[in-house]
Amino acid sequence: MINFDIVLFPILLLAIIIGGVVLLIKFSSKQFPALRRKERWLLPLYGAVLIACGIVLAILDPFEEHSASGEGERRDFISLYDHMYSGNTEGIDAEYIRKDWEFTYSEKVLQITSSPSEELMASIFVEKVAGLGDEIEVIYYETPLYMNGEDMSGYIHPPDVTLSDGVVNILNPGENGYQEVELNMLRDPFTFNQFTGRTFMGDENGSTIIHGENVILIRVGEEKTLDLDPDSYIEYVNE
Amino acid sequence: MSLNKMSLGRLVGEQYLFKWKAFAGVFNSMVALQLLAIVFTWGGTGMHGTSMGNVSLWMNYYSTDGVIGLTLVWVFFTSILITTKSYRNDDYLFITNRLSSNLANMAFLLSASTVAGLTAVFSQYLIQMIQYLRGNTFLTEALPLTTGEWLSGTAATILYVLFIGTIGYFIGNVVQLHRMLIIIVPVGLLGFLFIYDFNEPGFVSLYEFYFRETAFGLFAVKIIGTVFLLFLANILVSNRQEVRK
Amino acid sequence: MNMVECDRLTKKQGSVYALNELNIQIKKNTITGLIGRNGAGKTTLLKILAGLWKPTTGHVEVLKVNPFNSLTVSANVAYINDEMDFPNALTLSEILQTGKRFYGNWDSQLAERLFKYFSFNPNQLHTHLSKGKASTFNMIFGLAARCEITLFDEPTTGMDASVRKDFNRALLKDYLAHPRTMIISSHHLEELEEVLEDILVIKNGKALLHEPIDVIRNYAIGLTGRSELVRQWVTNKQVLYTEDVGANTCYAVVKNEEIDIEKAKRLGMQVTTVSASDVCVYLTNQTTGGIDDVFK
Repeated sequence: MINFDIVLFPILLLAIIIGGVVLLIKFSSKQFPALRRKERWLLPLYGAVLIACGIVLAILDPFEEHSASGEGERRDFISLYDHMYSGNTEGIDAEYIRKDWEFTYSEKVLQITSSPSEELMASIFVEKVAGLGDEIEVIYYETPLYMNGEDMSGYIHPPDVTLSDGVVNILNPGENGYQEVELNMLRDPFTFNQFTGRTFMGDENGSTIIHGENVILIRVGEEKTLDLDPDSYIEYVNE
Repeated sequence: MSLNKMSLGRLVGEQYLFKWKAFAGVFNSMVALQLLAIVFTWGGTGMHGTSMGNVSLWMNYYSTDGVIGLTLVWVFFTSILITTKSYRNDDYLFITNRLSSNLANMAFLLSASTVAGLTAVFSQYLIQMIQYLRGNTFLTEALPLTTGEWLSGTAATILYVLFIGTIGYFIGNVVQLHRMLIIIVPVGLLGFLFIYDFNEPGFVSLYEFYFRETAFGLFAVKIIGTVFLLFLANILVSNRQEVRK
Repeated sequence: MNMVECDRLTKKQGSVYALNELNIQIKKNTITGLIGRNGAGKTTLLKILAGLWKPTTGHVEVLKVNPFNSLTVSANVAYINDEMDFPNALTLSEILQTGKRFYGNWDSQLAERLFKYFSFNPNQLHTHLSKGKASTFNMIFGLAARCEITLFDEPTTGMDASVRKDFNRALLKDYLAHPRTMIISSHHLEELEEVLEDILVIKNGKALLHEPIDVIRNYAIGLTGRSELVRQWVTNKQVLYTEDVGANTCYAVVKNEEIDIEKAKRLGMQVTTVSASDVCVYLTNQTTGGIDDVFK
């Protein structure tokens, strides 16, 4: 659904500006006969439209702040999988926690599934922890996704986790569990990049995408019996 | 009757003003080409993305590269155009000599380059506005340009346009030397483009000399110096030339 | 004072000599008719005088300087021809305004009056004018520029008779009000005769004759009579033209010198004057015969 207020306002503003320019030319053509010829309108009109667009954009400021850090990309990330397979889940730095959930569940048997089950944006690991009792901790870890040296993780929605009727369900975000993120960015032309060292796509290192790792860790008390959905590729930590 | 005395400076000034009127049409083709290039940015000029499982992340890049590129094409042909008979003979309807005509043409080329360069840079606002009306918002650059970077980039755009324009003007003037050159020069240039190995060190170093220069000051000196030399060559080439029918 | 001086002026175009060792001097404040057939070198001469072309050999001076690429000459010589291709970006009135900016002596009042008189539309484009209208406009431009030297190259091309008459009147009046040096080329003297002071006839790139118009008017006489008689009379005289006008009757044009007109009349020949324009036609003919000779 298009938001008409947002679309109409700039169109109206643009129409007013173009109309104003045309009137101005009409008026000035009386003062300056050189402008009377239609062929000479195009350039001033075009220039006026460009500047008008610049002004309108400056007023509306429809730009989204870049959530990327802008710092150069880091390549010294830990491997979340290594931590999972080695069982050293306590050793993961808190900076990689994107989201976490806590549930209390007193029954013995706990089912874990994901939807859609075939594909999930994160790998699911389960860890049985002594002394957790009825607590269930779900933690979504993420190492950043770099596109052209900039951190893009912020544009990807994390999964959601629910607990109901003895089932922990890990839900992919987005419609039908499918997430499509399209971003727009204006890059400087080559005449600018020659001196700033930027490139059209990417940084000095060229256009690169570095995938991070996405892991969901479910920690439950060790006395619980788990019923894992076989379609969901759920693994145990340290196995 | 008293002799009409006109200094070279005043004459060049009058010719320059006359050219703004007489050559006004060339800007219409510029606007048309720039608008064409803007339309081509509709879906983005570059795309980059990834998908992992059920997440896909795409980044559409927009830039005024195409607008600047077409502007360079435009200025090349426009500056050849103003050396052709129907334009060059305009001067001889009024007062002129070859020097004043060249000076006025260069002054016009300089200001046309400024206009073309500025509109090419400013065309980004129209590109953004089109995307905004389509409902796409832009991300800001993580590191916005400093005023100095913006000014030097804009000036560099103007210098690029001026550079190509001066080359076109020079080629046009050389072609005017002799009828046969109208055929020889384009054929020679095209043949050169096909046969020449652009990886040859001479060309590479020439390319790097101008287009890999990362210090704006040096770049400006190189471009302005070259433009100046080409301009002197223009005066030498055309000074002995007769006015064609 | 000579405004124009040519000394053995030669212009070679390809293998053809458009001008061949031409010597002329043109005095200040005269109107000279430059008469010659097509290809005689009229346009070449005017283009060299205007500084557009440079001579192959020989010497040329306009306003005491070499005209080629000269700013002084460009500023003080208006060269009006039918090739004038004013830019389409300018309307007629804008062209006149531009002329005013360039020429220090520009006469706006004259330009405006003539513009109105010949009922031009100020917003029209030069390319949209008919041939005759374009010639008229160019003439207005040339007169209004009020240059020290004004060169008209076949200015009346395409004009109809009444406009041509107006053109002559305008030219003469403006010349009297503001004397200057004018050269008007034409292959047809008749239409210009009333305004010219001097006639310069050129043929094959050479100056054949450069005299005041009155001299040309008395330059030759026509004799009509029995063929044998006329033929006998004109031997050893400079014959410009002969024509058989009937059975055994012949018309000859001879240079008006050492001709005993009274005796000719007594012998039954008819003696007629030859108009200046006919003199020019005969002088510039390639042969002494006319087109009739081709069909003999």
